[in-house]
Amino acid sequence: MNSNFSNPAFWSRLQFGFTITYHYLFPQLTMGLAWFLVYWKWRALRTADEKYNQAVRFWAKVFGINFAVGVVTGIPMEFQFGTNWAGFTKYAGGVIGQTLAMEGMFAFFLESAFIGVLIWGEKRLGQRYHFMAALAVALGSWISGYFILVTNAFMQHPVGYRIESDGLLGISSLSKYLLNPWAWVQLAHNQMAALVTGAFVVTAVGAFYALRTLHSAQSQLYLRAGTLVGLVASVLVAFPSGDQQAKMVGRHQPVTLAAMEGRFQGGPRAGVAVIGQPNVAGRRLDNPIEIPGALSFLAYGTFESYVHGLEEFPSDSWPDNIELLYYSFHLMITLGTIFILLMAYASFQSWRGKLQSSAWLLWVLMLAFPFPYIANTMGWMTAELGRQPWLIYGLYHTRDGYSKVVSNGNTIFTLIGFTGLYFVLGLLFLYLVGREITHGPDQQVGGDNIIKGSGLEALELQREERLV
Amino acid sequence: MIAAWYVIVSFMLIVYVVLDGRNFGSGMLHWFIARTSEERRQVVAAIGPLWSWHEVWLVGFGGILVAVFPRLLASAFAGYYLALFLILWGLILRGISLEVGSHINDRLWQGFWDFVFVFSNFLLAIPFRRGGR
Repeated sequence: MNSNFSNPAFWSRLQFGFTITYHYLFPQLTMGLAWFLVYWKWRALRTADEKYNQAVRFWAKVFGINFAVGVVTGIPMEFQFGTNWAGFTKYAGGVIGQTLAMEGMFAFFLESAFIGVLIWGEKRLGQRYHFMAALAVALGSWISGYFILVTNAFMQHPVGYRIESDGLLGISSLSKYLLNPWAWVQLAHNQMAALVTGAFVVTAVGAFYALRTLHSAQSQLYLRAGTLVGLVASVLVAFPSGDQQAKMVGRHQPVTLAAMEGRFQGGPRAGVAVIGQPNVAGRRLDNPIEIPGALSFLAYGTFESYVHGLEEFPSDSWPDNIELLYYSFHLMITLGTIFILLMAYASFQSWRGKLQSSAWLLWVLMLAFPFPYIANTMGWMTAELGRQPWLIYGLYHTRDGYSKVVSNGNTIFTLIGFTGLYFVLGLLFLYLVGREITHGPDQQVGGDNIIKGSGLEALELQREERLV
Repeated sequence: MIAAWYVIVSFMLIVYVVLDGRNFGSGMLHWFIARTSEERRQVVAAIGPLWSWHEVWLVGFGGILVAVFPRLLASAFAGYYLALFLILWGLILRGISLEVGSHINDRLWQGFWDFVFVFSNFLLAIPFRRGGR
C-alpha cells in the first residue's frame, strides 16, 4: 500500500470512488421513491381519497431536495472522465460517450423538466397531468440509470465495439452495445436495490410517526406500502437478479468470483464462507466457517461443479484489493439476507394489523434505513473492485487510464476540496429533509407558510401575487 | 461527418454560453442591482426555473465531446485541471444556492445564500475566461 502514495492512478481512483459513492446515495433514493409517488398518485386518481394526495405532496418535497443534491453531485462524474481519466476517455470515448451523451440530453432533460411540475404543478395542471408528471419523473430516473449501467456494463463486459485504425475504440454495433446482456442483469439487480432503499426510507418515516403517534393515517400508509415493497424488492434483489449477476461474474470474470469468495485453490464442491478473513500473502482464507458446496451450486447450478481458484490465474490478473472486495461482497450478502427476514416479519405483522402496536419492531424499522445505503455501496464496490486490474475488462488496464499530465498534488487537493464541500452538502441535506419530516404531511395544497423548492415556485408565487 | 459534428458541438456551446451567460450576469449584478429582499427574490425567480434546463446544454456538450472528440475533451480537461474543478465547484455552489435559498423564509438564511449565489457567479467567470483563451 505504501507505494500507492506516489501512484497517480491511486489518487484518481480514490477521488472517483469517493465522489461516485457519495453521488449514488441520492439517485438510489430518487429511483426507489419515484414509484411510490406514481403508485400513490394513481391510487389518488382511482379512489379520490385525499390521504394519497397528501402522501404524494409530502414525499415529492423530500424527493425534490434529494434530486437537487443528486444533480449537483452528478456533474463531477462527467467532468472527471476528462480531468482525471484522460487516457481512458481518449481510448474509449467513442463508445462510452454515446450513452453518457444520451443520459445527459434525454433522461436528465426529462427529469428536470417534470420534477418542477411534480412539486408545484398540482393545482395549476390538475390531477391527471400531475400523475403524468410523476410517471415521467420515474421513467426519466430509470432511463438515466439504464444509460449509466450500459456504460458500466461495457467496462465489465465489452461488446459491440471495434478497434479503429488509430488504435482507439469505436462502436461497431450500437444495438449490441445498448443490449449488452450484462447491462440487463445489472439493471434488474441495481433497480431492485434502489427500490429496497426507497422502501426502507418510507417505512422508517412511517415508523417514526407511529412511535411519535403523529399523522396516524399517513403513518399507516407508509408502513403498509413500505414493508410490502421492501419485502418484494429484497427478495428480487437476491433472486433472481443477484443470482443471475453472480452467474454472469462466474462466466465472464472467473478470477473475480474466486477473489470475491477469497478462494485461492480451485476445486469441486466449493463452499461459501460465512465468515473468515482472506490472507493474500499466505494465499488462504483464515478462520473460515464454510457451507460446503454452496458456491458451486450458486455459480454453476450443481454442488459438484468445479470453481476456479485464484492460483490458477497469473497473480497480475488478480483484483488488486482482494480483502476489500471480499468484505464488500460478504457484507452485501449478509445485509441482503437480513433485509428479507426483517421485511418478511414486518409485512406479516402489518397484514395481521399488529405493526402499529409493536414498539420494538417500529424502533428497528425506524433505525434500519441506513443499511440499504450501505448494502448498495458494498454492491458497487464489489462490482468495481472486482473489475480490477482492468478498466475495461480484458481490454484496457486501469494503470493506463489516468491523466498523465495531472500531478498527484493536484488530485489530492481536489479530493480534499470534495470532502469539505460534500460534508457541508450532507449537513444541508439532512437539515432540510429533517425539517420536512418534522413539519410532516400537509392537510391541503400549499397549506403552509413556507416558500419551498426552487426558484420555479418563487416565480409561481410571484405570478399569483400579481394576479391578486 | 466530422465537420457536421463540429458545427453541432459548437452550436451547443454557443447556446449554453448565451443562455447561461444571462444567468451569470444577473447573478454577478444580483447584490448591486437588486436592493430589497423582494427584488432579490425576483432575480432568483428569473433564473431558478431555467438554470438546470440551460445546464442541460453544457451536459450535452460534454457528453457529445466525449463521444465525438474524445481527444479534445481529454487534453483540454486534464490540461486545465484546476480551472475545471473551480468551474465544477462554482456550478455546485450556484445550483445549491438557487435550490435551497428560497426554501426557508428567513432573512439570515436568504442573505447567506444570496452571498453564496453572487460569490459562485464571480468564481465561475474567472476560470471560464481562462478556458476561453
